[in-house]
Amino acid sequence: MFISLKNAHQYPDKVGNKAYHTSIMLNLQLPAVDGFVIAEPFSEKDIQFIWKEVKTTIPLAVRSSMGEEDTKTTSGAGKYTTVLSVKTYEELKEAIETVFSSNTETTQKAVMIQPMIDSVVSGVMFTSSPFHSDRASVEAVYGLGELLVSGQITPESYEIDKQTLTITKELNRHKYYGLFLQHNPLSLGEEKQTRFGNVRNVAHMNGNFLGSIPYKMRATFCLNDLQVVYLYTLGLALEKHFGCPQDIEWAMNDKRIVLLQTRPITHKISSTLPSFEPLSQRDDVLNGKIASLGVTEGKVKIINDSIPLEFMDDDEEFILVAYETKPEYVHYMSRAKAIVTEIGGTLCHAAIVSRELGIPCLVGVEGITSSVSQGDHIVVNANKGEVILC
Amino acid sequence: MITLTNPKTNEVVIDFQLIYDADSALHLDFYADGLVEEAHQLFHQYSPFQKLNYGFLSCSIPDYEQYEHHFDTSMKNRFFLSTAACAMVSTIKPVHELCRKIEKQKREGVFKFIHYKELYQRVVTMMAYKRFSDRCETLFEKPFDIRVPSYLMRLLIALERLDVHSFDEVTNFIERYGYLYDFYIKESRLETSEGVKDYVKTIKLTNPRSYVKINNSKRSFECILYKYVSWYEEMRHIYQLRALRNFRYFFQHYGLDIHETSWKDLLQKEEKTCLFH
Repeated sequence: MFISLKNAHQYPDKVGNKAYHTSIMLNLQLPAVDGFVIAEPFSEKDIQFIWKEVKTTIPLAVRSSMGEEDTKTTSGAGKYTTVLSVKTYEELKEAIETVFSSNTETTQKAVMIQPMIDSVVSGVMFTSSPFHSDRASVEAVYGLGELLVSGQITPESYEIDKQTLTITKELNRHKYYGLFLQHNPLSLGEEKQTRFGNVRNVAHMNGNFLGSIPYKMRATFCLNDLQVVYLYTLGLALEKHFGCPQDIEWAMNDKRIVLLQTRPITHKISSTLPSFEPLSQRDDVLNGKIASLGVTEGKVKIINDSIPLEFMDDDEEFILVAYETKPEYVHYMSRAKAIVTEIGGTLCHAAIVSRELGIPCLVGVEGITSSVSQGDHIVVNANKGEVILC
Repeated sequence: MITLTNPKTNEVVIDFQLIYDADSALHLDFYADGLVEEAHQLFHQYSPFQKLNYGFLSCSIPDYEQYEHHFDTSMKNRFFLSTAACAMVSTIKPVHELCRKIEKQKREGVFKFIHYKELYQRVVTMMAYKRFSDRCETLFEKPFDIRVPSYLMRLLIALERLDVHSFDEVTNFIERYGYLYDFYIKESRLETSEGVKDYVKTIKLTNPRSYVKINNSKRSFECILYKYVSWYEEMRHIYQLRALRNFRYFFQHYGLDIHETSWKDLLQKEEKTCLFH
């Protein structure tokens, strides 16, 4: 079966939470992206019909909307596959198959098909900050949001005081690259114009391209204050409707801001962050951003592309150390005592998963992967933002 | 040097914009054109790299691998090392001389593009030895008894000796050292007299000293080579920034964007509009 996203809210038990939430956003007249949701059982004719309707809006994004995803207790962040930049009927068929087959656990399976947004800036918003219930937080990167949510890039952070709407922001001058949609083929070194500046094609990546960001863009905030407040008002409308704080993915093209998905925040929100005194400039202490509170110690297991994932398949408890987190690491994150990453923001998947699991997590710990080796003993004090090398 | 390999197009890509926190297209061009010039300077052969945009090079994978292999093999040859090291250190003086000439002309309000064109070429020749110097540093263990004055030490010593109440001294300091404060083309905080005075108030001068010292009894080949490499590295940094500062004056004189104007833009402007004549 397939349903237009606008009507999907009428079939909450069939379309999955993500599609249901998107449908609600559309019906609340919020700037969400319309499209289709396809659920089992379905035939090739269904895909053909959808293709006929959406082919003028290519490239498409094919996302999961599974039963256990985006509930009040579990986000399932990064658990299932998303396929971007789908441009042909054959690719659409394959993408639907890929997303469905990424779920081998639940019986309720659905997939959303939407036009892709040509994002110049995108990001994540928590209508209640993970550490301060009186604030909302927004993280933003140039380009598509995939690198942000998978923790492969350090975003720019904004915090909004819910009472006064005062914005506290931190310029990230190291936003050297982003993932950008490639509407028309760009040759290597060629530039794509955005309203912030020209981004140049460094590498082709599955229909998108990795773009290097020029200095003027790096030295500018991705969002202005008005846009941050506008995002927050959209978030408030969703929070009010669903009755709980929301974790929202959004994107901004050259014209407007759109909401891509919303789900309940799955962790308990602290009223305030515990105060702490940093351990000065000690050599055996590395500092990072707090993504999930807690203190633990244990043996390090470093995970990266050159270390086979089977290496992780033993029962010993460990602290997962990675340069960045990727969707394929989620399984190992769920078994870790703590997570420490070299890059990434406090709203990336590693952060969300660790808060769900209630394990300490630090992100943006510069030098952690070169400072520790497999099996080293470390203490992760995520209440203080510190990793202590023993 | 970070390279991105694309097996589909059989290309290696080097984007200096991804590597350096530089605030100008021209600065990235220094690196890119320097790398293109490397093959000519070191091996007297054509470069396998092709410049596609400012600070952006590509090269076919087989050519890149062959070139890197040739580079690695050459680095084992002592004659090559000593010849290249001598050539490397001799690239600094031409930049120094032209910088002085251009700065003198600037004081007289003269900005001739032909001199800046020559300066760019000299900087590129200097930059051509950057990877050679990097490789020497990783190839040989650093001898502990060699000390080369660092550009940062020069800056600190100059600050230590500076009488901030003397207008002339502050002006000279700005001219000689102010551009060394950071890696950017834009005016640094040490290029205004207020900035210098404020900075002096905030820093703790710890009586820094620097000197060149070579223990003659252990004057091995590696030792001398390392001295050359260290000296070149410091000087390259200084003259890279000094040339960049002089290009800033040029850009400002002709009303060009100091951040976005690349070398190609300058050449096109000269050809199409004869703006600089």
